[in-house]
Amino acid sequence: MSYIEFLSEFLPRLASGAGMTVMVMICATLLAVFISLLFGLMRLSSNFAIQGTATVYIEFFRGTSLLVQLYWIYYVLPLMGLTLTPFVSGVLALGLNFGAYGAEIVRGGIQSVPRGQYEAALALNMSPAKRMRRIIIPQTFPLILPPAANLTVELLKATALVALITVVDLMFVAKQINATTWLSAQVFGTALIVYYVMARFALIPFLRWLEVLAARMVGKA
Amino acid sequence: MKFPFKSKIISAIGAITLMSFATTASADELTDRINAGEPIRLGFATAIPWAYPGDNGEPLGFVNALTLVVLEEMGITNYTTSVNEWAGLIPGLQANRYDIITGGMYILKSRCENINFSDPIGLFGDAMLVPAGNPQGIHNYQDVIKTGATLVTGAGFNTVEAAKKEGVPDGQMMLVAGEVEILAAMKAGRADAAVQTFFGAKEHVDKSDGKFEVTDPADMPEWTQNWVGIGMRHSDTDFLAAFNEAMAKVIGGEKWMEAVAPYGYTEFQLPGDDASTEYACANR
Repeated sequence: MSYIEFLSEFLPRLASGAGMTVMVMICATLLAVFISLLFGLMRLSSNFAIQGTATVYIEFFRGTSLLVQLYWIYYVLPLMGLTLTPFVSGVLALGLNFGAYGAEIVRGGIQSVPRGQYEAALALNMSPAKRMRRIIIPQTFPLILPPAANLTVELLKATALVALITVVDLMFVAKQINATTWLSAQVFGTALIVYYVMARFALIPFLRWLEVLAARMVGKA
Repeated sequence: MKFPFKSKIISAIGAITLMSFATTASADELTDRINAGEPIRLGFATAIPWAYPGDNGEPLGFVNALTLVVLEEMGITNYTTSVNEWAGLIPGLQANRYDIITGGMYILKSRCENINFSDPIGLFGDAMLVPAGNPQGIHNYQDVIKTGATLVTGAGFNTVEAAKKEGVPDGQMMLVAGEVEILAAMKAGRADAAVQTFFGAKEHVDKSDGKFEVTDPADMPEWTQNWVGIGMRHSDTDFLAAFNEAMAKVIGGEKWMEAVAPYGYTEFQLPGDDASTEYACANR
């Protein structure tokens, strides 16, 4: 079977798998962004309980393996009475895990806004909440976007793990095709290319555009 | 404000208690669900020709085929499928991800401790997959030990336990995810021999253009021959009884043999009259 024949036969299935990969990635990224912001800010709270909660959360999800978390949500939670669909389990594990890494990026970003900015906001009699919202957070975007972009690309590739809990994503379809045709070189080669194209020609340009946008917002571009 | 919240908790506890009474009063959960018109969920891995998914996840392979014959006899034609890693099949059943395991599982003691099995659907043996010409002369586990060869098999396969019982050292064992990975490991020369079901090995020979051959299953230790059953949760006892009753009517019949013929299952694989799940659970 030539590679062209292979593609004409299996590309539709691989494409539908890639569609699922994109869905998982988008949902997991949205969840991860939300968690990053929430726990990143909680980490900076002066309230011991809030800060402690965030620290425990981050250390737990960074300190244990994503694959184990995935299996745990998929196989163990149902024993405790909570059965989530494979898709939701996958999104949840990815979002919770990458959110923990993201929270540290957010914390680092906020802490690297120069002290003078805080003092100036204080001098203008801004409340702490307003100071955060109007002065500090907008300035953190250009700082956190490059590492966050890194993490997002990482997340896209980590979505391949959800194939192990029966989500029919690109990796799952590739494994199935491989199991019936044994054309490992063609099928996994194509999957590599599809992941690369998704990352290089869609995700990275989008993240780059966000970086430019954020820099422009604070007058740095 | 405190009081209404408390009463909510109390009523929630009451509701849960009521619900648990409701479920214990009737048949098992799976039977209830099927009677309510919900589809039965088949769980299997990709192990050609035992059980594997078609292009749209439809259940292929002889274990699936004969299960569908039995389900039809029971009046169940509504089903969905779930394709899993082999080693995840029992955890997935316990996690209620699907209702029965149609992967083609040997009835083993260690598995009986975790799930129930239907009556045997057939008697099967294992065999070695070796390079053509069998240069190292490997026919069974003892040959593997003697030659120091690397033996590949699938994680969670019955052959893992069998190799251990026969005394193959861990260092000579290589565990991969499933049937596909076994052939990949053999092709890449990472292992000298593979042990798997005779059917699985034959399938691999057909797929590798004569690069490999399968040894005679009769060369394997006799005790490794085993019966295969359909896996079910311990709690679904009513369903198990109904399934066994329906299977007794169709096993070896025309419909049954017709369904499994395309996959190479013949009357030689029929379990025999004295086959029993209790015996296999206790002795395998």
